[in-house]
Amino acid sequence: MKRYFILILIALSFTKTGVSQFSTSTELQYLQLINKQGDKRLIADNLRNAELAADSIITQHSNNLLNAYFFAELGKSYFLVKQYDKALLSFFRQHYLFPNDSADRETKNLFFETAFHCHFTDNEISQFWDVSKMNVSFNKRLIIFLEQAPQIHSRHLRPYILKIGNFLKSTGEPVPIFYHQWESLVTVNMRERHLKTILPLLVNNSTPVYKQVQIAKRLRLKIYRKTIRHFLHINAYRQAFVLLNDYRTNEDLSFFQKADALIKRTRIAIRF
Amino acid sequence: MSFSQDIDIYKKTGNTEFKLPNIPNSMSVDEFQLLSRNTRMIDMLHAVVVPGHIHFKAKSPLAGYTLLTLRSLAYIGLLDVYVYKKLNGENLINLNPFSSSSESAIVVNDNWQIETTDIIATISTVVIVGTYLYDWIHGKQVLERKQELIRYKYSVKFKLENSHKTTSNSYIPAMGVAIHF
Repeated sequence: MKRYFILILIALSFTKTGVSQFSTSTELQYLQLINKQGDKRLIADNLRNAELAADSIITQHSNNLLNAYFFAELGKSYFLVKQYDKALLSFFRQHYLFPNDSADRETKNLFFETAFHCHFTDNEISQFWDVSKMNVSFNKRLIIFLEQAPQIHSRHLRPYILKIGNFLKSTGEPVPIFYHQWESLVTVNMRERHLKTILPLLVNNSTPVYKQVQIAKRLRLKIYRKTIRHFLHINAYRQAFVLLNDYRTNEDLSFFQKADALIKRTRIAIRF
Repeated sequence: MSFSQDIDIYKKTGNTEFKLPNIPNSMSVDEFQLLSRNTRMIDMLHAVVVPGHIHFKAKSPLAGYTLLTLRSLAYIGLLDVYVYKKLNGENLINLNPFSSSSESAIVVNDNWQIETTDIIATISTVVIVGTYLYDWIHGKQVLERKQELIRYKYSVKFKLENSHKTTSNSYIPAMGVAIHF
């Protein structure tokens, strides 16, 4: 009897703690409240909490109208504090992951306005807007999102896109090759202006990006070097050694590139 | 039965350091720390020793490090003046700073010449006092503003969360016996 009593008390205490995590409805109402007030400090202070709620919504991905409105309202919050890239990402999340006609109608103007702030042209924005994502499963919509979101080309958005990519991996759905390629480039910290040039050239096969010959040699060698540097940074000396050997033997290097390779070889030798 | 082996000035009925507050799941450790902090009189003394102390306490490291740098430069300025005057055998405190006759003095007019070291010393002193006051007054304001934002956010959310509940009472029925001495 005593054991059951303790178990009931534990269950009740969990119920009470569970209440501390705010529901989507609460987060949405709060976003609406602060967006109406327009206080930038208040909005900026809430963005971290809103992103936590956003992660939870994507993980649960229920077919709830509130989810679409939540992301639309989150986009407005980012717009008000002038973080246009994140605002556009929020509208992408609403538009691609939780498509809803009424929410779409409400946010269309702001979607276009935000995309203009992110230096897109009218045609490009229309292409984003017109991507068909109706009558497909949530996992397929995730793939559409992962195809479109990297095109915003903002360094600040990488963690958000990677998080959604990781979620897709956790579902067991095969991850498309273009995402793997983007992920490998982002992991080695390539600049967005380089990604803008590289991504349209990539071929959909499993060849590593630094071996795809259609990319200009200057950029390809840069990816090679950044990949080696990444492995050195995470103390993966053996993999760095393999890549470095590959780089030195297969590529025609200039004097400075040879000197750089020698420095990297020394770093591998002394494990530094 | 055990007896206290400590001497407390104030009455203490439990170990307050081990009091675990019931915080919302989405509250970050930064927010929790900000809410648990207050500016007290002792912080005025700490701010004398550690430049930018109040800003560091209010989790504004940029302002804190700026104040730290400015005050350090001001101390270097004062030290420079001290060493210069000691080496030249001058008095540390010039009782008539506007009528200097040395070569390094800046001449404003015939009756008004100011020593460069005096200017550095004055600026350094102003910076030291100014950074201290700014740290204390602005830092306190920053901390309070951040606390207000956090309190507002969670208070409104708790209110909204409660309004969604179907039952009006969230208390857990429990029985207990307490003995007070």
